[in-house]
Amino acid sequence: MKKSWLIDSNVLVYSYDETVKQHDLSYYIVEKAMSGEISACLAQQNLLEFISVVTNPKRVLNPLSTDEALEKINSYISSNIRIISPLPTTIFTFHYLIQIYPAIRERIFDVYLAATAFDNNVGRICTFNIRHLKNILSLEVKTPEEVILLESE
Amino acid sequence: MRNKVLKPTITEEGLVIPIEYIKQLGDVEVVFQNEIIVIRTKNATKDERYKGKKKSPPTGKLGLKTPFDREELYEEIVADRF
Repeated sequence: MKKSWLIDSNVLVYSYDETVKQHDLSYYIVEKAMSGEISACLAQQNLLEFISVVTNPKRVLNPLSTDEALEKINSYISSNIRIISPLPTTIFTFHYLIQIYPAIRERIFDVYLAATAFDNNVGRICTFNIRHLKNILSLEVKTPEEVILLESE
Repeated sequence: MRNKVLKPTITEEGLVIPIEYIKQLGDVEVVFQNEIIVIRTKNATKDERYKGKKKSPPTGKLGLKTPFDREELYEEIVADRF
C-alpha cells in the first residue's frame, strides 16, 4: 500500500484562498489528493482548523458562513482523501512525544496532530511549516514543492 | 427473456433487499459501519469508486490576513474561552 501524506491545514487553507501566493502549489497538491493521484489524508483536526480560519473575520477579509465552510469540507470528505481521527491511544502517543521532545512543548497542537498521524500509521506530512514539525520522531516533513518532486519520481 | 431483478424496497417489515439484487453486485461482504449496514464489493477501494471523476478543490477569495499558524489559532480560541 502506498504511504499517505497528511495534508496540513496551512496547505488546505491556501488551496482554498486564491489571494495568497501559496495558492497554486497548494491547489495542485489538494487536487492530486482529491483525485487519488497522490495518496493523502486529512485529520479531523485539520478540518476543524480549516473551518475555524475560513469563518473568522479576524483572520480573513471575506469569511465564509459555517454552512459554506461545512459544504467545502464535504468536498474533501467525499473525495479520495482519507479522513483520520485520534484513537483512544493518541493521548498516550502525545504524552510520549511531549516528554521526549521538550523543545516542542510550546507547540502542543502540532504535536497532537503528529500523534494522530502516528496512531493511524501515517508518517509523512505535507506542510509549509517545516520547522514546527520536523524534529518529531521519524516524521517525514516536506513542503508541497518537495512532495510534488517526490511523487513525480 | 431475462428476469428483471427486483430492486430494494421499503415495506412495512423494513428494508427488503432481494438476494438477486445483491448477487448482481458480484463478490460482496456485509459490514457494519457506525450503525449502518454496508454491502460492499470486495476489494473495492475508494479510488475505484471515484475513478474517472475529476475532483476539484473548492476555491474562493478569502483574503487571509496573516499566514496560517496553528498555535496562534489555538491561543486565540483558548483566550476567547477563558
